Amino acid sequence: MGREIVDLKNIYFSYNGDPVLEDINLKIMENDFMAIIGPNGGGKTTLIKIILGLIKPLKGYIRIMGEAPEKGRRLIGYLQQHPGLDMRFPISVYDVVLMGRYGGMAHGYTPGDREAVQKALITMGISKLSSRHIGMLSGGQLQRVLIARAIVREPLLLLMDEPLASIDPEMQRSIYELFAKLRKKMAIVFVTHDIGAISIYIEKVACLNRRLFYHGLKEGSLGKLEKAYGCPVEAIAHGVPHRVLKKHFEDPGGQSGNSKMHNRDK
Amino acid sequence: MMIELFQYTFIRNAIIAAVLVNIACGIVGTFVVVKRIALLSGGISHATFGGIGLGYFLGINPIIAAVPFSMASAFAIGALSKKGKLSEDTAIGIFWAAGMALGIIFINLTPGYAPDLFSYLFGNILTIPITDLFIMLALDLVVIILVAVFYKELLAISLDEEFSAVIGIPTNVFYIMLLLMVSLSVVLLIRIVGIILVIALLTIPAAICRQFTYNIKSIIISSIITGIILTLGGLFISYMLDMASGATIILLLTLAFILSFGVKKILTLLRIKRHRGTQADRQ
Repeated sequence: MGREIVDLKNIYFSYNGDPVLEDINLKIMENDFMAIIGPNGGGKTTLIKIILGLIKPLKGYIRIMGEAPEKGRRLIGYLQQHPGLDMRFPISVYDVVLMGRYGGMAHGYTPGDREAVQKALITMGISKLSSRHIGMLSGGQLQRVLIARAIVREPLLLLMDEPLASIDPEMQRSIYELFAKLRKKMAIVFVTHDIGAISIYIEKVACLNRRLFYHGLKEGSLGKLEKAYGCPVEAIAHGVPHRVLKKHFEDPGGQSGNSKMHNRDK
Repeated sequence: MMIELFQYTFIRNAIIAAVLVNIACGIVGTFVVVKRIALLSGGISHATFGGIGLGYFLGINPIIAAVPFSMASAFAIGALSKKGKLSEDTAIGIFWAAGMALGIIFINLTPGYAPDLFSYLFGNILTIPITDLFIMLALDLVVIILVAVFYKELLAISLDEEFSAVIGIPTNVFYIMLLLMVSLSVVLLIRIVGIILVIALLTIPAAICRQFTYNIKSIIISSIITGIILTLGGLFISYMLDMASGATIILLLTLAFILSFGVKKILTLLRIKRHRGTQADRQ
């Protein structure tokens, strides 16, 4: 199974008195490929920021490779949701990715760093864009640049917030293929509100809506996410081979949905 | 006529001041423009008027009194807005007005008349004493050293603070440092264009130059040169037409900014035309 990269225990968070996260427990292991799905406002971005130590939970325990998040987060490659970059900012693709190699104050970039940037650009299929200004990129190209910036650190975990939002399905597929390639080197975890974005490649799924329901490895194929979403949701993806999930543990008869999905995949 | 001008000490001082000030301004102004903190810089410059008043009150060089005052305002605006207790524009507005008010009260409390008060508000490049040139030189050196040493960090937090935090940059420290550099530049500029016009000289050269390159270092260097040329040009025009130097410099900057838009447009059209041309050649 490998090493445990992230360990969260009994995390609680609230915003202006409203509970956002309750009793979250999550372990991310080496080489995991996990999607955390949940509705908007379900606490997905909050959870990511807590893992990274960007916000403090009300209570709970967080370790990244045994360290506090502020120290351990250097081992994580992070992709923000719509990072809100100023597209007029005067910087080239190459320099954006190079930034990911930041090694501390008074550490200049080394030839090794530059090599790592070239490798990341090649992995993401954007080496031709290297000297281009970020303002000249399409949405999908920018997303690849930002993923390159996250993986150029050679992190143990690539943690992404809605990496597939605002990307057309064709591009989503090619990004999935990239993830499938990358996961040999690092764990990959992302959050999304889009059930259709869950592809066959994913091995673990958790649902988040204030609480986290963990569906674990290779769980059957189908079900409903109504607990997480608060209303019935059919897990259907268009054109993407997919699997669906069991009901959450509150409902012991979680198999009930099985028959529904099967017709579709056959 | 030009040679005659150079013989006056005050003109020589003005030219040296124009060069020194634009060095710090080109560097800091570039970060102000790309990080979009022009309004914040305006708040710092107006708050600095409190320091000028304090200088009068204590009977010391107002520019020297302005340095700690400006830095304290920059620190307070930055810290308050980063804590999230107060939105940034509110913090800016409060300090903007409170600093001006303090300055006025200090000057009220000072016995006698404040003869050159007007020059702190609107600048007067022709009255710069030699001691202020040394202060400018020292502040230039501080800005140059800080930016040379922490260029990577300043670039990273200007582009993306959240990502910078995750890769291990103490973002708040560098954000405050950037604001402190803004406050030093403001103090430098007060002599030239005055508190009220500082923001233009800080931002317009970088705003002109960023249209023509997307390399930050090129923007910095070209902003310094643009700033020097336009400041000296404004100074010359104001001398010839006998107008207020600070205001003339700012209007010349504004004119150059408008012209640069036209130049950029023409360059873009030419590029499109050339591109079409090469496509036609291929066919």
